[in-house]
Amino acid sequence: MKLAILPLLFSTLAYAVPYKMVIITDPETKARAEEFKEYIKSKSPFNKLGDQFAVEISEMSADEMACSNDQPDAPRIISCNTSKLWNRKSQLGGHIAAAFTSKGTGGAGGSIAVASKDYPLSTMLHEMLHTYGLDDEYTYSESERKVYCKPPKLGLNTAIIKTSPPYADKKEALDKHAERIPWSGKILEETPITHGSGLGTTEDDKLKDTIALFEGGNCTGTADFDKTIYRPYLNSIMKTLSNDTIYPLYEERMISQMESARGEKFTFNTVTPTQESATVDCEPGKQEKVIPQTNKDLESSIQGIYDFIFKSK
Amino acid sequence: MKTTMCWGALLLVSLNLQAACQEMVRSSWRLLPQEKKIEWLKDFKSEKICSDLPESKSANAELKLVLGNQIFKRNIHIALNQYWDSIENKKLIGGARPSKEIFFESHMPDWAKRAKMTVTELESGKILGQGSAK
Repeated sequence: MKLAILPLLFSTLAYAVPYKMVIITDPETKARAEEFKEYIKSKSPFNKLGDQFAVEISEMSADEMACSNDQPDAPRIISCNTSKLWNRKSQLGGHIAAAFTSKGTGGAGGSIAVASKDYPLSTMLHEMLHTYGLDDEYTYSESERKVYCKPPKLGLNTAIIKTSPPYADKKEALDKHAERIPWSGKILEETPITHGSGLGTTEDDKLKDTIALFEGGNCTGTADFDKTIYRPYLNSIMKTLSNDTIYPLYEERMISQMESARGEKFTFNTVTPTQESATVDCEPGKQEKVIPQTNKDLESSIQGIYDFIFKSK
Repeated sequence: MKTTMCWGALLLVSLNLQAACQEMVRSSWRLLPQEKKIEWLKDFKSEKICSDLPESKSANAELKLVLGNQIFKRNIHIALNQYWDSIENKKLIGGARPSKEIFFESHMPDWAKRAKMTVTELESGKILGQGSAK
């Protein structure tokens, strides 16, 4: 009889759905997809997620994927049958999909990331970061800028600023432009964002892992554009494939995007203040225990009640 | 007496937790910005969500679902741009153009499966498309 209440009790708990990545591949690129699976599982933030992250490889014929460099006016563009790829992702319950192809050459980002087998694995990571909302930080060619930078658009990792020098110091620069810099709150006090009386951090290898304000990005150099484009990192994977570190700012954006897709926040193994049980002052001299919020904590609480009922005779 | 009190407490805990949870469905859609049209593609199995839906810090669009006097709004990130990348002389070259078709998903309450959906770009306030599931 007592056991009859357990289904009711446990039906109230939501069981976490893992964030699922589906890697679609044609038969010729299957080995590449397997390599990428191991690669991505080793990269932060995915390597911190444990069983909250799952990867599934799914094979599809090259004909069905229909990837090719099929645009004569832009021979570098690789495109595939995105509907087919999205359907496969949906069938498998994936939250994000990436596709490896042996047809065509290059990489593409958007709803679904695509990379050809002749490109480094970091290309696929770069393309996936587009899916998470990050823009290119390298400068587009003049012909591309003429077509696609009319006007340049604000991104998470690009600031578009109409500068107004001279700047006396960093404070003045931030007072004038902080709201145009999506990462302004993450720039440390000691990090310079001006040089002389101008705006922007001077490129220096010592600042390679530092969030700053470096000049240059995708639409830099667009004709008749009177604003300057800035990026947060000196050389991130959105600028060069030779550095595949996922920097903290981008990691934070990715986690937020993954949680949004999954419909639930992740639980990280490292203990953070928000996951700990804590005490707060409700009234002077009186403290109250804060109820733990995570499902694991709830499960523990319910286990305690269960033990109390069934074991405390 | 002790046992009765425990059963009562257990039931209260259970009911409280139940009240905090909501049946949500993850739905998949295709947005065609040139036609300003949204097509419903698929509903996944309903999930019990017991906290507020997390919002993406990368959100660039607002979903609005309306059915009668019920409204559900959520900001999400959708792939407004299509990027391509190539390598020449060890350097990346490429570009971005507005996506001609955008695939996206979002959780929504069960009732919203039959609602009319509008997707608006957050930066410009421009309506990108409208549609409904049925």
